[in-house]
Amino acid sequence: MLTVYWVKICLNSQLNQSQTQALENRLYTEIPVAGVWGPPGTGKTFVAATEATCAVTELDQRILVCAFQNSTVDQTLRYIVGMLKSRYGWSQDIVRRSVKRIGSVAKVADDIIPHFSTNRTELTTARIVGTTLHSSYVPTGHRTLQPLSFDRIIMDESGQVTPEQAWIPLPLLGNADNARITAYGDDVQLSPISPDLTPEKGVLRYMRTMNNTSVDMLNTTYRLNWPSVEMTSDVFYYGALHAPQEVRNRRLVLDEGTPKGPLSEAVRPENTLVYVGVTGREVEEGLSYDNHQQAMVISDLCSEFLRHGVDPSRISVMAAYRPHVRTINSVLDGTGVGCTTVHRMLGAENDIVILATTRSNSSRDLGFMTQPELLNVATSRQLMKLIIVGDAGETFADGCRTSGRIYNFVASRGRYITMN
Amino acid sequence: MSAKHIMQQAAPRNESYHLAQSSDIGHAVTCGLKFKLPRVMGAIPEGNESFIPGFIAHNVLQSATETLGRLWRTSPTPNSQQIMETWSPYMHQVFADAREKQQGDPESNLERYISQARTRLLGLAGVLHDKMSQDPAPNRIVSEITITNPVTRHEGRIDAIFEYPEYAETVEWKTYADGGVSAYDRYQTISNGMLVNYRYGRAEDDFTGNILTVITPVKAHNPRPTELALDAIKEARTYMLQVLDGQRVRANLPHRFVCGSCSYQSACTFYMGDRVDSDLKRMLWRRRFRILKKRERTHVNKFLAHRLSQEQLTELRLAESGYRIEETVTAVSSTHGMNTLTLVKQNNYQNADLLYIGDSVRIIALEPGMPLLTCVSCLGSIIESNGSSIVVDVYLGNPNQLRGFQILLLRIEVDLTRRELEGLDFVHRNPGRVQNIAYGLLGEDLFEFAT
Repeated sequence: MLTVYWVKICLNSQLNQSQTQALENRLYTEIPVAGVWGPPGTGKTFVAATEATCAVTELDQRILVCAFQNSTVDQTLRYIVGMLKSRYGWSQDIVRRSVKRIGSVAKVADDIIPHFSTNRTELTTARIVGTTLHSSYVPTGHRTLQPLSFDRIIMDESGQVTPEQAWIPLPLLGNADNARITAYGDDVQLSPISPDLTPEKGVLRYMRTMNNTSVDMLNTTYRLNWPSVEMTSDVFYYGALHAPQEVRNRRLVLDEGTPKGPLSEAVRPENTLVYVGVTGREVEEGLSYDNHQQAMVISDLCSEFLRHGVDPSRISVMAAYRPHVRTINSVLDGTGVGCTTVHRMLGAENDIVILATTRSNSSRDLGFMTQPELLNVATSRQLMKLIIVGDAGETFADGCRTSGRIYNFVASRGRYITMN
Repeated sequence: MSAKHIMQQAAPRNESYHLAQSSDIGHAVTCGLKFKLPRVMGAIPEGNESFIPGFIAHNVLQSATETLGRLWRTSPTPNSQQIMETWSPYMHQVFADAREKQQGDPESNLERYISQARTRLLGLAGVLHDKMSQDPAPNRIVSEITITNPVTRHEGRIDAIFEYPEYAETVEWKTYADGGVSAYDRYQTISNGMLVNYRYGRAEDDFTGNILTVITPVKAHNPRPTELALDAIKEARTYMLQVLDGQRVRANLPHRFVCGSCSYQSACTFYMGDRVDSDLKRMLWRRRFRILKKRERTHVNKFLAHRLSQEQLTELRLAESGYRIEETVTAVSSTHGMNTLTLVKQNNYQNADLLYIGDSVRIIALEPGMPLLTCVSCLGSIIESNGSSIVVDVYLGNPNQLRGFQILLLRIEVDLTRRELEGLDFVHRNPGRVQNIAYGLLGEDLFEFAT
């Protein structure tokens, strides 16, 4: 049964049912280790931040927030800082003293720098400390965090974390019975890379496959509109993911005028899921790949959006191969739109997302784009529109089973355009 | 030939790429387990804080050594006070950083440690005064130089090399030593000397142009690289590489009486009579060797850098040359101890497709006639890149000595495996709740293993 306190939390933060269930399990049950499985846009970082702030304010606990990547730690801390100020009315000064960040200062985001500290006393009195897993526990010499000094460890993006990495902060967890670890993440998105450079199992996948009862799934996405939500749900989540009606109906609004020209179909707001087939072949660049024709099509697409009054900050372009990212960035130079790698888009979202698949060859070799986890990240960052710029042949359609399913879904439920 | 073929030929997947570190060789010669415990099991040394003064003094010397050459040339017989004055800005910086970290900690003995560090530095300055009075000034002093010899799979970081026209002097600071040097110090210095021989194009055991010097706060020692010592080092190196490759090799053990002073005593006792559940033990060992495999992969680029030409490295997008240092900013912030370095791309070089913000690189000064992996270098990560110049945060090495050379940037993988091994050791040696939680993170039933 929900307590009065719980009702307050749910009303204030408008948590949905699966989020409320996950939080209740994490705050009021006896299980010391559990997971929260959050597909794209389901608010796992929001729930993680809510768990942290509730544990601090209501249970008077001390929290360690950790993740594999610096950017993830910073993002979770950003949510926590925002919540402490807006929901609990903490002043800037108190928040600065209560939330601290350790690690390599060069890798900390600018807005989190005010929370950065190497001072032991400040760190001992802080209620929430954020760190990467590898910086979390330093056994000798430069030790900043004391053993057994935290009541709860919140690990974000744990789908990317191997068990031995997840064990690094264990010495910091107190011995009390109420000491807890929560692993947030989505193992169907990017996974850890093994020594032989193949994907391996992260802790969340171990937890989900070995002992499903300790993992709660967040099943409502606030990111993907229709039909993207159905594609992601069918291809990656066994149909378990759904979106509220207002999210499903979310559409791009363009300035006056109807898009014209060969790419008009891709730009129209009603076409939320588009595949642009480009005939140009890939080029080998060192150990990687580039594709100039795809870059030119992306440039044309961005110009078209900008011509219709779309702000450049609302467009994200991504590619899996670094030389291709560089080429796309050079053709987009001056437009205000930037391109990045799929790996760096993990956790990010934008209104319009353009994905370059890069590979186009006669052997139907998609390279590491055959990883379902990578394809999941690549096709689930959009709030309003996803445009996949791929080859017009069969490299993406037949590259692997997952890419084939995505291709077929877009061909049947979205729009397919060919560019020569 | 395609880039993939070049890569496969230069670094076949079935080859071993582990490297033996000089500091580990020093341990392995004296006790095989003393190498295995931290490097394979992940054990953490026990002990009190007595290492801190030495550690602080060593931090000062890391950046202050470069000033010695100038002082030696301008004032050949400086007294220890003059040397201390030259070091004083570096001392202030290091002490301020240490104080910042300990601020407000009532239990901190930091001021005592700083005072001890100052005394040790004064002792070292005294020894240096004697040395500078007797010896001619070297042409150049390089400090904190990492040398990798991929042929013998040996790597080490040398505190300083004093370069003379006809010979070189390998210098190790032993800031914690009170007078004599231990067997460990001796073997570590000789193995570093072997790397210095490689740097100057000699056989690794040819010490004809290489003087070994260990400088303690009390006196300077010159360990002799005897044949016996060189054989012991080579044997230990082979043993270490076999262990890292996963082979079962018997460790040579010291006389038991030295174990009383070993900082790994309790870890050693634990692993000698390990009674942990066999399933757990098997799982932990399997994971340890996966981590070691991951560590091995971080060294592959070094082997490629040794085996391929600069053009091939550029073609593979592993290295990019044509940079020069524009500006070095040392310790932008005393709080954060951050060194940044601006590198400018020269006009006659094409911008290759290599560098992104966040990438880790080895910044190598291309010294004429030296093998690439023996040149003066620093490690850093890219914090800004605009096509014609890049800004690097240097986290290891002294960037000032890269000035005047053409710079090559070699992409590296950061080795984060030490912490992972330490986590495994913690789980291995802490039965009950910790092992339950560790199993919980593996999705196993939490209470199955508790009973």
